[in-house]
Amino acid sequence: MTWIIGGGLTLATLLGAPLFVILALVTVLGFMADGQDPAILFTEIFKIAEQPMFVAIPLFTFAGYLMAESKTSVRLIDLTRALVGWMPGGVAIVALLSCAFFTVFTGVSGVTVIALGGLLMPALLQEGYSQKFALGLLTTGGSRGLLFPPSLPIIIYGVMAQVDISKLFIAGVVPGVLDLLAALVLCFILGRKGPVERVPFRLEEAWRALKAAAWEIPVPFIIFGGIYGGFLTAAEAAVTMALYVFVVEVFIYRDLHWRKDVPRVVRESMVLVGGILIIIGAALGLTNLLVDREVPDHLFKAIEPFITNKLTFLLVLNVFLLVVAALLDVFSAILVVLPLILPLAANYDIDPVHLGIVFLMNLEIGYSLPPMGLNLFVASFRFSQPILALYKATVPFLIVTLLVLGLVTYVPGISLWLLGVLQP
Amino acid sequence: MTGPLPVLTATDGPGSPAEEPRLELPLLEPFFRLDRALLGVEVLVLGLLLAGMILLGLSQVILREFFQSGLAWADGLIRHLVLLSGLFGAMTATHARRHLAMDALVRILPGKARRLAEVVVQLLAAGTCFWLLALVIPYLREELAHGGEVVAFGITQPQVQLAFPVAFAIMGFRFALMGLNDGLLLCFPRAEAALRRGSGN
Repeated sequence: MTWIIGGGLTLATLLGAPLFVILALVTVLGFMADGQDPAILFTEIFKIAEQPMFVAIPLFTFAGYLMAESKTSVRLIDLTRALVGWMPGGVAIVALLSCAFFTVFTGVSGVTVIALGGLLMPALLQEGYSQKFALGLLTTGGSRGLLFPPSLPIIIYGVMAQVDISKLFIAGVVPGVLDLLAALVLCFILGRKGPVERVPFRLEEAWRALKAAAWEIPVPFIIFGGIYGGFLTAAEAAVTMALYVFVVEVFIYRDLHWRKDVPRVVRESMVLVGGILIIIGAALGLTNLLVDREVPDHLFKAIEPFITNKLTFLLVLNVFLLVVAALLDVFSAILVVLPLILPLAANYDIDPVHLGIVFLMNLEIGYSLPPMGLNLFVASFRFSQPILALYKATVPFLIVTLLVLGLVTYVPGISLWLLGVLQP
Repeated sequence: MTGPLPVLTATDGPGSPAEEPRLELPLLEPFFRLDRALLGVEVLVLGLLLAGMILLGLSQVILREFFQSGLAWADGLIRHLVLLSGLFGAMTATHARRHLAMDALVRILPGKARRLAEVVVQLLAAGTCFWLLALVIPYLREELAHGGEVVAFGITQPQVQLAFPVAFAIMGFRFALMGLNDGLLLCFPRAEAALRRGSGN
């Protein structure tokens, strides 16, 4: 009977059943099979109201959606183009930085490719970049930036792993910069190959773009300064950012009308928040069941003879997570897989902050990894290109990010060094 | 374009390409009207919840930084507002058909098989939500009888949890409505063709 139910639920998952439904069913059925009260699920969902960290999720998401729905993307591209467009590979660098910035504030999803792709693709082609290069850059750009604060996946990892979000925010900075630098070097090299025209630097143009984006430039500083200056917790930084961005986009830039547009933004952002929080609730229930049944212990005993040390574990983890990330969206991947990985990693003595950065970086790559990475499908849809063309286009970008992943995985200091400096 | 189109999920968010208009059977029109009326209320509640979280959170920061004080109940209330925003957001996600899901296999299924799979998972989701509703009612009855901790303004934790049955009922209703509508359209292609002509598709 258990096998039939298990098979049915697996099939339903593969057929696209909402993940919260599957997790809730497994939890309820599991507790009933153990002779326990299935209502434990509800007490677990209610834990969302007991942890202050959860506050960051709806507010950062709302602020990110406000920026995504206003003309932030246009001002952002204008600004980076005026500032770095003169460099070799300049427009490519503009695309890379804009994508990273946009991904940070909207979460890792198809949003970046859809919202920025239409603006950046013609700009790249016009400047003489090949279509293959532009496709690769924009497709992988849809998940780059995931390691910078206040990206939603970092917050969700912190919530699920019970790790201080501020620590994760700090730990993500160096690996995130390395990842960007590696891609920048690639842009520099590939940008020099072709007959790419450079945009000359013009001071008045830079000043104009700077003035246009003047109200949005402080946003990252509010978050960084607030959290690292010790004035604000991550949740309070989310409150401040949501209010600031609301005032800026609705009353200063007037990109969004409070009656015509804001309700739509509320609805769109809360659809994502609801989707995430309901899975978190169900995943908390499932975690309780797994711990109750000592599943992580059994799993550790099963893999211990084959995976004898930390390095092998990390290698296997990398491969496993890349596959998971290619099949699930980032949020679901964290919520479904983390409860199993976390206790295993603890057995191999892996720092949960380091694990978080490795975990998230794998998800970043998996999101664009052939054959099933979601970004590939979103980009195929957005740019009307065959999926095979995207497989080829993303290869160089994926290789450089995989190299950085290797470094970040096996040199924990890359993630933990800045944390040691700022929070000794 | 040779690659299959992605099944757009909640992760697509702002700037997503316009969705194809949904076909709704006239037979089920009163239920769809109820669905839309509920959506209006949910968006209003979500807006109020967000405003509440922002204003209370900001008051706490200002009171602490400038007056070295704070409202004892505010942090707890904000956390409960987050829970409520999750539940109301989940109801809205059901209306928008944008719950997070693993759609790798569905993406490669041919048209009819894909639609059949969608109907099956919608009905499974409806059944699950109604089952959770049946489980949460006795649990809440017991919790309410015990009283529970006060969150703010005399409202207790079990009273906040009354949002659970509301959420499960509305999500179950929406999944069932979608499953029924899509299932009937699949069974009666002529009715679907007539609706498509009517909607100009």
